[in-house]
Amino acid sequence: MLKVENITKIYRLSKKQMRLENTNESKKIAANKVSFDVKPGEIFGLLGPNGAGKTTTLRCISTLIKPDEGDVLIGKDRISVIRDDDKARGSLSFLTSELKLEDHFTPNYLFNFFGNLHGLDDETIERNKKKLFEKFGIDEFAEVKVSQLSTGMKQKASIAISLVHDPDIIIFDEPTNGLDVLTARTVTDYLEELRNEGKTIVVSTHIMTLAAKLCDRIGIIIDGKIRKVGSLKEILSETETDDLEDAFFKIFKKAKEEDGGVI
Amino acid sequence: MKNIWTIIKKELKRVFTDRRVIFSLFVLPPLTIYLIYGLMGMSAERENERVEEYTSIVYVINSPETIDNNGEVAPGFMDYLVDNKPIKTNLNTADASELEDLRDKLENQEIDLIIEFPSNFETKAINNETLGVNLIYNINRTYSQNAYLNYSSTLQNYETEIAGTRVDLDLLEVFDLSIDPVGDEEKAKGSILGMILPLLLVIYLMAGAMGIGIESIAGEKERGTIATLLVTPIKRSQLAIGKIISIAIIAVLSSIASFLGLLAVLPQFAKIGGEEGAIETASYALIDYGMILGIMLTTVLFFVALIVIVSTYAKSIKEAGTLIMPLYLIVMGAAFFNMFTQNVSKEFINYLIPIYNVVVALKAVFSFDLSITNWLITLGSTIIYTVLLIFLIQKMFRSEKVMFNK
Repeated sequence: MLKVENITKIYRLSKKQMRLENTNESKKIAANKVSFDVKPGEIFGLLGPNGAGKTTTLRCISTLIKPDEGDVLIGKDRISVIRDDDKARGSLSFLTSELKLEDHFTPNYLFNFFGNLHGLDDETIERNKKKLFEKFGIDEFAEVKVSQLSTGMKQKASIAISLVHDPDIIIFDEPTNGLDVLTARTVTDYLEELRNEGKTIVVSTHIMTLAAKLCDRIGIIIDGKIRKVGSLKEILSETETDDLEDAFFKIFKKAKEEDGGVI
Repeated sequence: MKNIWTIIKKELKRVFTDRRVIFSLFVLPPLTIYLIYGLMGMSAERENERVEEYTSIVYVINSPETIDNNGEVAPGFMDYLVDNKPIKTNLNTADASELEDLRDKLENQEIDLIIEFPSNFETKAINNETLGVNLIYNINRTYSQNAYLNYSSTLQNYETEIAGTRVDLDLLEVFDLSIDPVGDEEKAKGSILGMILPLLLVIYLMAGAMGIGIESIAGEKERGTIATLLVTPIKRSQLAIGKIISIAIIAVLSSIASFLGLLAVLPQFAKIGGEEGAIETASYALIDYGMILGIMLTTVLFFVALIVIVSTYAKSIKEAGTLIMPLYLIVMGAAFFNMFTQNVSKEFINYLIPIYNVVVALKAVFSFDLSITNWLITLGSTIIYTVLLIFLIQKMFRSEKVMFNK
């Protein structure tokens, strides 16, 4: 069980950033009282345009950054700004295309290395490696240096290594970003498999078709605020639309009107 | 032609719109040259001033009285010196019986020079005898060497004065100057090493740690691989310490490799200095090597901690490279600033100043003049500074502003 409660994250902008963002405000509220929960065996999709606050929210959940307000609850343990983040990281996995593997090493070496960092014994590492390498077809290039792998191979290796500790909660930022169709399909199929195993999964995406197809429930985030949460059916019904893209634009337009912004 | 001009404009724009590149290309090189040569000059000037300001204590044994050679008169040596003192001097006369006591004082660095004339110099000079004048000085003391050099010239001029009283122009040589250095020869050889080796060692230690230190953290930040580590349950402090120790191991190995190269080329240094054999015969005891190793190890840890701070703060290897340069200049400055100071510092405070203490301590150990207390102060203070820096690094590793400041 993952519960996100009123997460707020404010970034201070440098003068250069203010210029780039075309704003006079020296603060940017990247996440504004974001709340949602995800049950085991469920894929929750955080859908929003670029800069909506998806990655910030996921980074807060994965303890990479601390929210200014709000808490994240995992199972019975409450992780807050003052809690021991190191332990929390042991039960979750954060995957993003931003996370890279060191070029100089092989997937096999890195899998063992990260397994050791998670405190796993050799037997568990080997067992998990066999399962994940087989699933993603990594065996063929397990001993090839990362620098010599294609983007798809790197992403597969990266996913496998992130799951080395068989976490209960998987947080995936833009899971198919930069992947070819075949690799993207392997990844989404595996996420469904993990859901069926009872894992708690959160993905962020700006791709409507992916959200519609993969996610059991969707949270639409715009300008740091969650504007709508529900299953695809519920969102379509509430917005009186036929597909997610139409629903999204309707919600987006309403959000901008509420915030007094420009569409 | 238009295309060539388009390419040129783009390349120039790339350089002249990047402040870091401008700094590293156009500001840093002249600054480095100015700093290094400026500090070398300042160090030499400071040493000269110190020596010039000093009042040398000189004893003259059997000082000649006025020489009257059939009406041709040369002044007595003390009278001659009234207007011809080459340096600030506290002049004293003594009897030959006091020679042994004075030698002891010279060895203990209480006085700077003994000029020993033969007894009955005046009579022998009139009889056209060639006499021996002995200059006794301490080879381990700059002031003493300076007094010896200056009084050698003065004595030659005094010789000319006496020769002027002689009718026979073939008898211009009144006396032979002989020298009788006292002091520890090993220390003298060591002081030559003490000028060059601290400088080279400190720079090698810093340079050895720089490349790997920058790459290890700023490189990982730039490539996005550090975030992969940060999402594991490893404590940030463990990650920081693991990085520091691994960089330190590599930096020590690198500096040892440089040191071996240095040892191989040392005899060539000796030849350049015109003192062939002097350097390679300076023999250090096991305790000296232990002291050098202790200083090297603590210094490399301190340098690594400094570099890791810069590397952690920087967003990229390029930025880290630019930011590290001022630190490198400070290290070089400390090394060059002390280069021409021949006397080993005994002042407690010098062994507490970060970076400078290492240069001073290395200089002292190479000159066989580092006390255990000063060695321990150097090591202790460097370790304390390193621990403080490690605390800062751990704090930086916990700061999302620093770790995710892309």
